Amino acid sequence: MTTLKGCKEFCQRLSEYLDGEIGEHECRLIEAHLAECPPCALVYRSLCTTVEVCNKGVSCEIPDDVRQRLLQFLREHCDPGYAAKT
Amino acid sequence: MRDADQEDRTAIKKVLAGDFGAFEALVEKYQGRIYRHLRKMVKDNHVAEDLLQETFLNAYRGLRKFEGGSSFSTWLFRIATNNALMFLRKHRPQSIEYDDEIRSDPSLAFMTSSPEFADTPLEVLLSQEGRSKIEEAIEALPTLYRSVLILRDVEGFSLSEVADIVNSSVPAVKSRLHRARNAVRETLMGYYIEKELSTSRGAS
Repeated sequence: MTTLKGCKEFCQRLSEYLDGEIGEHECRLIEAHLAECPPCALVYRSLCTTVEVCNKGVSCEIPDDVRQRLLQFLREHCDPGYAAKT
Repeated sequence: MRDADQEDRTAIKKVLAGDFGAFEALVEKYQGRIYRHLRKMVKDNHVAEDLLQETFLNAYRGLRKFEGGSSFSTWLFRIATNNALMFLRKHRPQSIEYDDEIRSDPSLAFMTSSPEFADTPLEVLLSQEGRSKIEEAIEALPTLYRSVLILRDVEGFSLSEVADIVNSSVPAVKSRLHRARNAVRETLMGYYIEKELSTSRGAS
């Protein structure tokens, strides 16, 4: 059975824990540790914040001219019947 | 099977039957996400555009080989990722060869955090300035770490889909993701600690 000793080992597993990739027993160990260790709980909170801001804060709209050139390029280079050929 | 996957499969059948409009609809659907992924990987607008064109051309020409073992989006991201890596290997080999390890920072080995970052409200973190810091932190990551973080945390692929896209194993993806997330966390944390300090210095 997995044992986790010390804050360092707990912190090494937080990314997987956040992804729901940890078995039930280890999950319980981590949750118990987070409940009683404020520094690790803070690391976990900041990790959750990091994932959330990456998810919501990364933009990069495709410019309209890039869209237009893509379509034009594909119309010129894709033989419309190509995919249908065996 | 997800509805989006089913829709894509229906569209692919039409394309294979000679309906080019169905392919244009797939391009319309995915071009934004593919462009963003390529732009983040190669960090150059013009190169990202060339690779975008190449990716959809490759997808069109290889569509018959798409076997449906994975979703169309995973398959398309795999083509885009391979194109980006081929470009980087050819033109910036140092970015792949020497760039694959995140500096071994002792504070990453024993992680700490600060309330300045963890308790900063989301509207501040996602303000224009906050967003530019997130972009900077992600851009500073080595290529292979950056691609995994983007695919998982920005694009929302599952770990096994990410492993499939980057042609790696799930444990390797987990390990890279752990280090990438913590490197970004550390960069942002440093920024918000400094910001808090300068605010309090300004107030005193």
